Amino acid sequence: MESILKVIHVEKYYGNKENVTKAIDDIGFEVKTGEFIGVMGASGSGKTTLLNIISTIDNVSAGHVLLDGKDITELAEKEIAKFRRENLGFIFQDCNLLDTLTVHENIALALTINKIPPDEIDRKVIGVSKQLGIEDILNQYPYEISGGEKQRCACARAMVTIPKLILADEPTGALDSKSAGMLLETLSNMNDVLSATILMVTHDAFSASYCSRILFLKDGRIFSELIKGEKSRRQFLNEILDVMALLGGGTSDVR
Amino acid sequence: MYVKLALRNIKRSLKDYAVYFVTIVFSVSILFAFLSLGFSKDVLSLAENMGTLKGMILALSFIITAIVGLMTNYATTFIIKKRKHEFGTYLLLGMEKGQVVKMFLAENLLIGLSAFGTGLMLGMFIFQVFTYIIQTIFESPFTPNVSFSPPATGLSALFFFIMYVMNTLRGGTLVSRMKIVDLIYSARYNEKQRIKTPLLFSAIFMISVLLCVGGGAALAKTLGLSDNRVYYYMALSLACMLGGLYGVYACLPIGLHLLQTKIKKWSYRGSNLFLISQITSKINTTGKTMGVLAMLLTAALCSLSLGFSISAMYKTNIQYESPFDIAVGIDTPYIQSFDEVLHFVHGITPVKDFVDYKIYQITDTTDIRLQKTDILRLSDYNRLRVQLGLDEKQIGKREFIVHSDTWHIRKTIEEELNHHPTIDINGILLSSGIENLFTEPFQQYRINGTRGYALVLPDEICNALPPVKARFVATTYSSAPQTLKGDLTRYIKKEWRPELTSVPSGQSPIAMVVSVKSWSVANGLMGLTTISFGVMYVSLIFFLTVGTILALQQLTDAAEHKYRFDLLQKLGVAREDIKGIVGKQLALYFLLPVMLPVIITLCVITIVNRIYGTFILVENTIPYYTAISFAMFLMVYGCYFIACYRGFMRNIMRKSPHI
Ligand SMILES: Nc1ncnc2c1ncn2[C@@H]1O[C@H](COP(=O)(O)OP(=O)(O)OP(=O)(O)O)[C@@H](O)[C@H]1O
Ligand SMILES: [Mg+2]
Repeated sequence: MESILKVIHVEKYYGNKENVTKAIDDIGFEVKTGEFIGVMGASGSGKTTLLNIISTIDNVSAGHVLLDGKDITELAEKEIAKFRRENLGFIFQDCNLLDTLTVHENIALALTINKIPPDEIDRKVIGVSKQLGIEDILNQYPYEISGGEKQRCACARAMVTIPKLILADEPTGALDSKSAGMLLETLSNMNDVLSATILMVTHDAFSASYCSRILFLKDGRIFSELIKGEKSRRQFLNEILDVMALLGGGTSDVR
Repeated sequence: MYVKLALRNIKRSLKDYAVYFVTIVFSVSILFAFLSLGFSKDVLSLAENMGTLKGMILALSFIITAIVGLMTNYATTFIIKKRKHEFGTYLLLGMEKGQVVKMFLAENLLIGLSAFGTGLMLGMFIFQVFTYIIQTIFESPFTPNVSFSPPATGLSALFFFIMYVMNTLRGGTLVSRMKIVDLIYSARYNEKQRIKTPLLFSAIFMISVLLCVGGGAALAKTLGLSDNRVYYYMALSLACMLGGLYGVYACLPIGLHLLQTKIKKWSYRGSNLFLISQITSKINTTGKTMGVLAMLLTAALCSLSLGFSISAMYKTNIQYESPFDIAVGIDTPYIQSFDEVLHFVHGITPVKDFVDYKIYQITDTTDIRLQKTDILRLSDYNRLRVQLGLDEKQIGKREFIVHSDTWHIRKTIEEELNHHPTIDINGILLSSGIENLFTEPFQQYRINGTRGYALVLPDEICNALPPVKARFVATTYSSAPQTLKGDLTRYIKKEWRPELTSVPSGQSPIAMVVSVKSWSVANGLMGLTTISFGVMYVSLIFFLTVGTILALQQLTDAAEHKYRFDLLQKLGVAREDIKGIVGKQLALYFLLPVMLPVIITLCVITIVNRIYGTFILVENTIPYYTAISFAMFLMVYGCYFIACYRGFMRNIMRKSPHI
């Protein structure tokens, strides 16, 4: 399988001359199409920073990021917006739903921005919301639905444009275990059925066990890597917990 | 879809920032109403020099545009800050920045244009009310004239462009410059808290207090000066006071913070802890904003109280100023008669009656009450009283009359009449009593008694006195035209007695007075209108600005507050108690910036009243109008407080988590 994402010697510093924080310190890896990648690590290890760089939200201090063969570190402002809407889908912890729009309109907005013909929009919105089981709440406003439902709406919005890569930053962070489970099932379903490539940042071992591969970060570097392969989820979860213990953070006090 | 999104955003903005947009509408309407007034032909034709009103309105409009512009600037920045996350989401979904900026501009310009339109309509109505008031003041019939004068409308549009559209455009630039990372993660970073060392803080605080007090003391001193430097010093001491005021407020939150850490017991009492932390949570900005608001309030309160007092002074002076239809005074005895003047006046407006007389003085006397005191002949005095429609007075051969229309020296005169009622005129003793003191308006100071009073002596005693000034008073059948004052002055100086103006060097020029009642009345009314409308114009806008900024600050922090108040509720505070805490918090926010301005205004008013109060012909004018000004302020401020309180309660009680 070809690789959709290549991260090459990426570095990211914060601060001024006297006081430099190396948030990302020479990271490099590859993601193949259809993979479900997890990124884990203690608080402050650089997970969000890495995600921001891959998602064109933030720029690198050094290095390159190739997405589908295109070097996103060298794109101009205007191209970035186009690239973002055509190739990327986002799911954040706080959903980023617009509260002046209904759920239906929120999902449709992503399509409108992509200049999808209006007569196709409704069909697509209904299709994706059926998959995620949110067709009953389409006409509600974001503040009228629960946190888990909001996350699924955000998922729907990220999926509806059929992006090449879905980026998620702690999507289960604010959810109870049942809602989290439903969301993760949805993601892994997207990964299996629609063969969407997903990169998910999480600090939660249970969420990570849904992934096919996990990168562990420590102080801005890749510390270790786990591949699920043919293992069961339970086995994989135990392996993850082992690495986390090694990293020095328990399941409960990673944040 | 974009249109739908923009419309929904507009709807939400109008709801969340209603106070702000209502203020914009009011500002436009006030601006337009005053500009219409300045360009209204009906109003400008009321008095010869009404152009002053127009000039003042134009000048003040610039100040007002600047202040409202500042407020808009503040509000725009505030709203953008609150919408950062939303803008970030648009970008995240792949919207281009230009598109986001376009949407922001479209939303705000649409809101702005409708606010401008509404403002013009409301302004037209206010303008009618103003016209009615002014025409009533001038006792001219009210002529409603609903037409948008091109210069007033054009200027309103220009000022609106400067104060609103330019700020919106600036906001657009601000949005376009923001980086997506900052937008998405905006909520994460709090305002950096930097507390200066207590020592430095105390020093700044002390200096500010000293500036305030010193400014006040300097003001009290300099107001007594009688040369032109008084304006310079006055401006300087006012600037000191305002600067000190700003300093005190800028230090206030830090002071509270230090107090909170020092005096634990006090801060744990009741809801003190919660309230203080609300104020100190944004240490740097809260203090500075309050400082600016306090300066605006002080300026507004002072100018409103003093402006109203001054215009009231004009109003009372109108009747005292020129009781006679026409009066001419030339301070030389060498004018035989005013026949030519009478002839000239008669050519313009028919004269019904006139008095051509002299004023006498006693040259050698040791009685200081008589030195340089103007003396009238009894027959002239009675003729003058007839001109005013008053009864004639009779006295005995050895009696005299005192006439004084000036209240602040009346007490002294009464005392003299009670205790030393006798005067010595060249060896003849004359006496008087309190019953021979008359106080009708008599145009003293300028015509009949330069020291504020005049003595009236029997004719045969005056025969022995030297005349020193020539006077002429005329009563006309109908009110003389206002232009007569200028024409008559020109006639006297250019044609009749050109020698009066060409004084040989080394000699002081001969004083000359020409007064025409119709002109004086119009001039007084013009002054009254100009000053009272001017201060109202500025103060109203300042009050609106201060109220809006305070309300906006409170309402837009609602998301944060909601979280805090939810927490309080979870901690077991009852709904009723929450209402109480909200009331207290808002009252604190609204009261803090007014406290010092009120104190300073009262001090300034007291100082001014002590020094100038005596020159005003009616007692307690200044305190009376100060009270009226404060009542006006309280009304406007109270409206903002209530609007803010209701909005706040709605915000923290509603289910939706957004802002
Ligand atoms: N805007 C910024 N300015 C300065 N330093 C930053 C900034 N953003 C992140 N950092 C620093 O970079 C490092 C990595 O931060 P990052 O947000 O990527 O951590 P993370 O792994 O996502 O942590 P968490 O699990 O708590 O979300 C941290 O030390 C953080 O303090
Ligand atoms: Mg993070």
